[in-house]
Amino acid sequence: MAKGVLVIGGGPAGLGAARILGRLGIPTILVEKEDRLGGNPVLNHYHTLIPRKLKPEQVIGPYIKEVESNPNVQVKLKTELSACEGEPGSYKVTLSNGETHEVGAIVVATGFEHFDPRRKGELGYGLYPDVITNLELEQMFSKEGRLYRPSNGQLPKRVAFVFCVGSRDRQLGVTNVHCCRYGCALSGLQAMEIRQHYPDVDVFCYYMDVRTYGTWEYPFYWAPQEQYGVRYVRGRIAEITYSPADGRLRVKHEDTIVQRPSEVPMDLVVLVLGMEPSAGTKKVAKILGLAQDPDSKFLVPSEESGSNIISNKPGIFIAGACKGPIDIESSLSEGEAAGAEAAAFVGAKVTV
Amino acid sequence: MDGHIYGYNLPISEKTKMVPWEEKVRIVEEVKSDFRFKEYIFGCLNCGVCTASCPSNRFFDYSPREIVQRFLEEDVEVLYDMMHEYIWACSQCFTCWIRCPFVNNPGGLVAIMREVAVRNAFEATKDLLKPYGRVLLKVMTTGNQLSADMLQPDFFPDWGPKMADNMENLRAKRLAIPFDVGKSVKTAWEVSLETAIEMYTIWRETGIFEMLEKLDPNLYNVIMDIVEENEERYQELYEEEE
Repeated sequence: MAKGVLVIGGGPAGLGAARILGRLGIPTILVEKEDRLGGNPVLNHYHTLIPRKLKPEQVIGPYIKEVESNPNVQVKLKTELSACEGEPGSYKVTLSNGETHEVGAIVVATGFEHFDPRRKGELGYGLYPDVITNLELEQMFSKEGRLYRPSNGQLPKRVAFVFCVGSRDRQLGVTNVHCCRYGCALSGLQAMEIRQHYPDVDVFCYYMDVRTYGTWEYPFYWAPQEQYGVRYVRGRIAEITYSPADGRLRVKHEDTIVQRPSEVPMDLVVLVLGMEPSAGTKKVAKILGLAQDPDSKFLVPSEESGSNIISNKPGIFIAGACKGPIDIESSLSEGEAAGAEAAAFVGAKVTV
Repeated sequence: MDGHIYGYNLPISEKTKMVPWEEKVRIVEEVKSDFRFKEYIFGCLNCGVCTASCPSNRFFDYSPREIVQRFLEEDVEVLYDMMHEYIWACSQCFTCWIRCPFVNNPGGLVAIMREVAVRNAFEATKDLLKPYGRVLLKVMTTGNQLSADMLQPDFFPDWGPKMADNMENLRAKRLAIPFDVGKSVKTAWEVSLETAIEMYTIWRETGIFEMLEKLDPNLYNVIMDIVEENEERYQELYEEEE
């Protein structure tokens, strides 16, 4: 039985796994294909994280710091898994930098990708500069610290959030029928941030249904409406057009509660993006022979186990958004659970 | 047993109220038993993308979302009533279908409802077909929807005053068309006798003639005269060749 553990992916789940493995004294290799750790929240400059409204550096920063400084963890940046042979307890892995290692267990934390909204042509992303993604809005907040219309740099008067772009949509085929889980809550948060800093800006959320599940109900559904005056309209946006007459966008929808078709002028439209398995997730699934959902291609846990992080391969554990949409704090926890399982699997005697 | 009625924004007509409940059930069941039905309706979240995308919704009291909802609610009374007027506002563009995130096809449901309405000779279908008698005559006998000689100024007043000029020397203008099948005046293009006979066979085998007989007996007689004449001509030619 090899003693080491390979962690694939340096995002929240991978960092969670690597940190606990390091703390338990297990020799750990953490590979990350990008040139720095942190995953989507850090690399894509998220502004404020749901549900605790902390900054990525507050949530993920301590993990990065500890993983980078723990002598038990070797961080290999710009590195991917390229091949794997052997058996559970003694996997011989080849990395993209040519190195080979023998490890007892593997934690897969290869994460997700944001949906590319160009695939929904009727929403006009890429065509109209004032149609942006919720990721771009995060970056507008985090990098520039102000809200503006990309077309003219001015403050918008009316902002619309379009829910479920690339989620719950059979028109995209079978791959995007799942719910993104974070979109409703993050939109509530972003809408509140806009209303807090710019009380004169009207903010509208267009939804099919609002899924601020569990304890997120009050802070991300009622608070935006009751405390910040964000307006929720039930009706999925059918198309977005542009009117040269007033230089504003038009969002077209049916208000399905009062049964009224409307075309509303907007200055800024924010598309709430769905989640898809990352290219790395699909690649690693092939290399390691991991079970995937036939439609979405997300990894699926073992059918025999009730645990969410046990894969169909003994000694391989799966954590975070490679298994489907998940929030950041759950990703960190799943990584930690997977790391602990991996430590138990390699039979390490933990020294305190 | 009477059906429950949700139609607060869609009053049920007095006529529908008079129809026996069993008959309304029979009609709606005929729609639901169509082989396409289960491929046209799944679940519905009431997101309204279909209705927001619907060109007819802009001008008429017609909402594709309502069609789907009425079927999911199995609202027999309203569905039966819709088949007399409501569904005929649909332009069959199927934008609802290509936009619905759950791939429901309200336009397809309307197509089935219309076919059932025609098969059952609803008064509404007779009224709706009346202005199209001349077009129907042309289509069913020649396979052509419009012909050059139908473009009369009084026939399509909305086409504007220029139409009268276009009709002058029609025969010469048609002869100038540089391909043979386009020289015809009585049809948009020449249709061979063999093609016409094949088309009549399709009408006969698929029950289109029967359907027409119920809807408009006069038109049916006029069309059948032409059909039978052509069939006799074909028979003679066929025998000559033998």
